[in-house]
Amino acid sequence: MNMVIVGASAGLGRALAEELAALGHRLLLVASDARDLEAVGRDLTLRYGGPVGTLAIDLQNFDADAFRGAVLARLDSVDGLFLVAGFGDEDDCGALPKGRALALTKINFVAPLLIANAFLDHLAARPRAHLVGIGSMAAIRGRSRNMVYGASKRGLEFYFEALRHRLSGAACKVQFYRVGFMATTMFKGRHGPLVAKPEQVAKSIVRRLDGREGAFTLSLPWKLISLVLRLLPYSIFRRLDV
Amino acid sequence: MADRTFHSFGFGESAQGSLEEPDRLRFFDAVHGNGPLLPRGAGVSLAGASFGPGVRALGMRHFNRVLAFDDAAGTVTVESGATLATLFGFLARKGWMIAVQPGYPGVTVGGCIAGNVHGKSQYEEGCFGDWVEELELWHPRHGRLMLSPTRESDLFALTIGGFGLTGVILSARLRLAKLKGRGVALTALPVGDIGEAATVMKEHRGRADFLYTWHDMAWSPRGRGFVFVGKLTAEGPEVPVRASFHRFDQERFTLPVGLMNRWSLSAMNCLYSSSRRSGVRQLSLWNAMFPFAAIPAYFYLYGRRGFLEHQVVIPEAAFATYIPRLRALAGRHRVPFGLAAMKLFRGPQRLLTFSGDGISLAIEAPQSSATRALFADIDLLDVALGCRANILKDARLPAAAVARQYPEHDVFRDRLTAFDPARIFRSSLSLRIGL
Ligand SMILES: Cc1cc2nc3c(=O)[nH]c(=O)nc-3n(C[C@H](O)[C@H](O)[C@H](O)COP(=O)(O)OP(=O)(O)OC[C@H]3O[C@@H](n4cnc5c(N)ncnc54)[C@H](O)[C@@H]3O)c2cc1C
Ligand SMILES: NC(=O)c1ccc[n+]([C@@H]2O[C@H](COP(=O)([O-])OP(=O)(O)OC[C@H]3O[C@@H](n4cnc5c(N)ncnc54)[C@H](OP(=O)(O)O)[C@@H]3O)[C@@H](O)[C@H]2O)c1
Repeated sequence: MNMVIVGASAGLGRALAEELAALGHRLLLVASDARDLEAVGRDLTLRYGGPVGTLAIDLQNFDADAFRGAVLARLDSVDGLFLVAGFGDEDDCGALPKGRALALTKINFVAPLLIANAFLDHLAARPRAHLVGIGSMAAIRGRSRNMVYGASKRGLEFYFEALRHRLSGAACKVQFYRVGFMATTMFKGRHGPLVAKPEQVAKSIVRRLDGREGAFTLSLPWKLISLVLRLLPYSIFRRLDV
Repeated sequence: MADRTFHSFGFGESAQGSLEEPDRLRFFDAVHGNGPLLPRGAGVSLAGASFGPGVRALGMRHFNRVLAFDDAAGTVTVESGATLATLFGFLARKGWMIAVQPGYPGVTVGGCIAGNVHGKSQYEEGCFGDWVEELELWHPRHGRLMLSPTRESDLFALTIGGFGLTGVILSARLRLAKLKGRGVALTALPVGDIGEAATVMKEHRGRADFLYTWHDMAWSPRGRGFVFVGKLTAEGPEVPVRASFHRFDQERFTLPVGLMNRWSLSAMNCLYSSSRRSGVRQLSLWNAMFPFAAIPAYFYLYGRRGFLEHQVVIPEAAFATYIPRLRALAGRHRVPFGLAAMKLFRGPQRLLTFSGDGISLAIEAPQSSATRALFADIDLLDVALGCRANILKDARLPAAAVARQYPEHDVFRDRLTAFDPARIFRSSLSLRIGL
């Protein structure tokens, strides 16, 4: 199958690319730095054999229709679209300058929304297709940290529900994953019991590709945390330093 | 960037520093202050080579991509964080292999170049650096440089076996060896002592793909053991592109008290000798190449105090004198040796590279003040008999010993300072050996 991974040069996106390459899929890798993409692309082509293409775009500043054209010029059809790219800002606690707040909304919400839109008809018409989005545990409850990021991811989750509704009846599966901490650059290399390896998360996502549609939290501890956070009355939540 | 305590493999040397693991090439577009910095591979060196006090270690594990493969020329171009395991299955499928492979599959290409390491048969295949055709080095003041034996050859020579002190190797083009087979017929020849082992090894010189020895020096001070002679054979299992193996982790749980002492080591060695019958065994190339990957528990049994290793190249003429003197020293200090192993070495020695003509002997002992005192005496023995110790494998080798054993110690330091007057790259090892 032809799979497009947006945010494929590092972290979870790169791990997903390796999993999909190992299964023999044809890939198109998308991120902002052509040098990283080139290295990942060459590695996967050499080690797994399948053709791997690359396309460098900046999600903060791109034209979705031109992007669709560029993708379809490289792969004549798309059977899987993985919207993985994401971006956090350490100072996202309420006083973020306008440019940085906009960057967060564009990368985490607007760009994946526009890309999903641009490919909607195409995916709906395929005999079998996958649309996968990546959200975050930061979007379970509004907090004084990751404010814009969390809001953008919540928006994306909402939009994915809408996409699922829109595509019901079509052969395109829509899946959304709320991810917890992962040991990637985005998480600043921290370690701990709740921190998953991106390779593990990628494996789970690929294993579930033909499974149920919906929005999922992958590990049991995060499911419990998510449940507690949801049930907690605001009067208590307000006092928590989470 | 996370602050943490680093340990060398075996816990012989430790320091407090920080670790950063960049994963995008734009990291190397910036200058990153005045250091101190240091590249880090898998971090399994037995000396404090990939960390230092207050040093920002740059872990290269994300830069592990195979960039090019040329079947006609027999070369692979690979990023420095790629491990031997990454390359093993990929190259085997194409009928090639990395010529020089240390005994653990998790070591990185960067660590192998910067350590100029050796494999199972240094006598035949030389050191890792002999197979490097070209490399790309990053230094914050000099940017990205392409180096080869014909391009910036001095800096190329300084970087091979340069302990990461010239900068970060980003990628390298390696000459490959033809894969002669996926299996190894490993013959174990029993020997009564170390001297006999040296004679048997010399008889097989030039006729084996693997040639090394193992000795029990805990129970049998004479060093009863085996000479292993390995020949590649066509038959052997395929190794998956993504080979899995047990990873050594310095932050792992360790036994608070080591279980390795004279008695347990003797018992283990006796058990090994009696279970290890003489004769031929058929192994997969992977298992023959990486015996330590199969027995991680062996190292864990040393506990949190760990162990020290010392490896020397002994000139053949000095060998007969060296062994009895070493035995006497070990007896005097009452230190039991865990592992003792030999390989044949040859080739010119330059800068701080561990090579030269002779027989290499590696010994390992539980860490204690007695072991440190013994190893200090061994340093004097090495100097007296013209032997040279492996800097990368010894967590306590002092500057004085290095200066006396390596004639180009000063040349190395002067060239390094000329290239990088600010000496941005530093490690516990470089500070200890006076670089
Ligand atoms: C079980 C075991 C068996 C071993 N067997 C052998 C053997 O048979 N023969 C042998 O010679 N050695 C052997 N070794 C030692 C090992 O091969 C070397 O210490 C090797 O350098 C470790 O590689 P690493 O990736 O862990 O490097 P590290 O320990 O992380 O670093 C080693 C040195 O390389 C430098 N370095 C790492 N990456 C880069 C880079 N990208 N650019 C520039 N410099 C870099 C570091 O600064 C440091 O100075 C063995 C070690 C173990 C644990
Ligand atoms: N890591 C965590 O702890 C964590 C937790 C919860 C959710 N998540 C989510 O998981 C997903 C993957 O995160 P990760 O940790 O793998 O991140 P990562 O390691 O930082 O990788 C992000 C990827 O997205 C690309 N990207 C970012 N901004 C881009 C832009 N403007 N234009 C084009 N590409 C861009 C990056 O490429 P370039 O470098 O080329 O820009 C890179 O390939 C994200 O959606 C993230 O929000 C992560």
